[in-house]
Amino acid sequence: MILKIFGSFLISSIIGYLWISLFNPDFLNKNLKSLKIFFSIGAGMGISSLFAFIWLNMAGDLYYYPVFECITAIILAFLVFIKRTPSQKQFIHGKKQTQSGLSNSISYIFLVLFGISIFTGLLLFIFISFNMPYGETDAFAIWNGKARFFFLSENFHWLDLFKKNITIEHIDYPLLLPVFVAKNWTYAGQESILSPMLTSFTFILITTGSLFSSLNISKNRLQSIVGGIILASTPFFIVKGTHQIADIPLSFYVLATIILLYLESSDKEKNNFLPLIGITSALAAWCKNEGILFLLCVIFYRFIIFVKKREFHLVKKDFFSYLSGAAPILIVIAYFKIFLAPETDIFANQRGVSTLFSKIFDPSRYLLTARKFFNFAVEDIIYKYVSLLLVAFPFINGIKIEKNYKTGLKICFSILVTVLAGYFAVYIISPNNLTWHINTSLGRLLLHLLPAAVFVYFCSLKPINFDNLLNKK
Amino acid sequence: MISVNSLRKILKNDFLKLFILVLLVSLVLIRPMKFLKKNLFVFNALYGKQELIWHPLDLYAERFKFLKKYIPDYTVVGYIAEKNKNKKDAYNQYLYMRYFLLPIIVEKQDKDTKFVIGNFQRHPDRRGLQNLREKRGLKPILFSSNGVVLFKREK
Repeated sequence: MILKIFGSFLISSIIGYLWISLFNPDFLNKNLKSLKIFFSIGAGMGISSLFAFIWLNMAGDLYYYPVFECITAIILAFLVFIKRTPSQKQFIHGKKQTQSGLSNSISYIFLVLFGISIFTGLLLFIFISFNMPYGETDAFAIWNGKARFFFLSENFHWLDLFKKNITIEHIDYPLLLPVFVAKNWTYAGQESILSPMLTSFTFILITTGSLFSSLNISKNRLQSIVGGIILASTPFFIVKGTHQIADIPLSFYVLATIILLYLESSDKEKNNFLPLIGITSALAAWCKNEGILFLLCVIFYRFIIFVKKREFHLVKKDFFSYLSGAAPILIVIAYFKIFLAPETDIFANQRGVSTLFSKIFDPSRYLLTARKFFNFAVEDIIYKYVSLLLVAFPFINGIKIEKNYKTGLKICFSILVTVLAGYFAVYIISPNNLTWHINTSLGRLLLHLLPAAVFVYFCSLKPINFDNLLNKK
Repeated sequence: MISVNSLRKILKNDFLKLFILVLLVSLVLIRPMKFLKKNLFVFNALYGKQELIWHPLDLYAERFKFLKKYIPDYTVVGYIAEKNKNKKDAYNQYLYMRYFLLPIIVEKQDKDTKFVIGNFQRHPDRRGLQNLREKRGLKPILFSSNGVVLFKREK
């Protein structure tokens, strides 16, 4: 059973790799190191879930899905083989990195610290998973609950969840996680808590790995290690990861999109990463409703605001390139949202326009939300030692944003700030008790943006360099 | 007070920079260590030093198992329970049962469904059951010894 679940993950990762090869060969041809592996795994899990959902709609249950998935992988491999082109361009970052920022002996100090943070995170994950094998309440009420229904249902009965007008929470949530977990159970032939656990673990791993790897490419080894330590040492990140909910998967897709936007803008060879940006941002929307806000922000800032220097026909070409990756996923999301999912409770439960306006013009709601944003950020996300490190870092190596990176950083920063503002606005108009709503969700929402924010933060700093430290003396 | 300029001068020394950085990064590791310490009881439980507490979902699986034989899959059923002062606890009990009984769909309340599941602490007395039958038209058709009752709607 364990091997079958691992097999399911492997097939998904292969599909992810092949899908990226097909839609964005530019990305995989490049010297982007382990980033390719992490993105293939993440994209694969999302695309697999998408295929499984399409299969559910066609076949009615997942029973024969593993056969379909294996055939799909073979067909994709064949298409990639036909379409293959020899690598012409390498990814060349704006500034050629020759220094790791660390001499060997100093490198060991930071690698040991990184090792400790990874090991602590791993133990924390194992201990909490043993204590909460079914995850937290939301996991079995929403995510794994739906997965179980999809896994056990036959002959299109999974549609009952959407069509019987029942009052079960958050039926409108996108289905990346539940369908993926159900797919793994189908491979295993039985339910097992190993599937949601392993899914959560994989997302934690690829999020930390992507942050480390991308900072290693765009800055240097030292900054990538410190970035990795910050993420792996944020207990809230690990704890929420063990809860088997969709927040860490969303934070992965947000991070992946932000990394790609940054790399794309700073690449001198002008490689085209837009199809992959389309895939990751659309998968964010397939992961959680908050991902839809993120997707809209990506489109808005990448194609509308920062087009001043570009000619319109180039923007149009870019947009079609983006759509080539995003469209297949967006069509499925549109189908789900239009034909199956009910209206999101935030909007459906509003009690008239006058109540809505009274909330918008109520300053106490803004004060409470702002205070809670600050409290959650400081207590759960950037707690005192991390804040100290983040404040000290610019003093140690200084802020320096080079011209090549400016547009990329502006886009990434604007997206993150707008998404944050969007979250703030949703609390203002929330039909629920505001304190309850914030207390039960804000920490998780901030977590969506944490890895991407750490990436943007380190990208705006000058690469720190201790290469010559020992030689000098 | 140290001015920003003097701080910058101090930080020009690479060794000092490195020392501060290592110190700050080490401090970051304190919090996950504390979290780990809090969760060490699981380690003790795994090695038999402490009894591992069963997850409520596993206990609920046993409690409601018998219902699966009587209620067809995909049926939407209602739910009633005693008033519980701890709302979170009451809600969690409902969620455990709902998760376990899938693909039977259990509604949060007693809606106009053919079957209704009663989840009580103890076996309900005759008067209580009579009350439910008269007021809500719920006829008890199946009992368990641990306070679970399956009702069928008469009207």
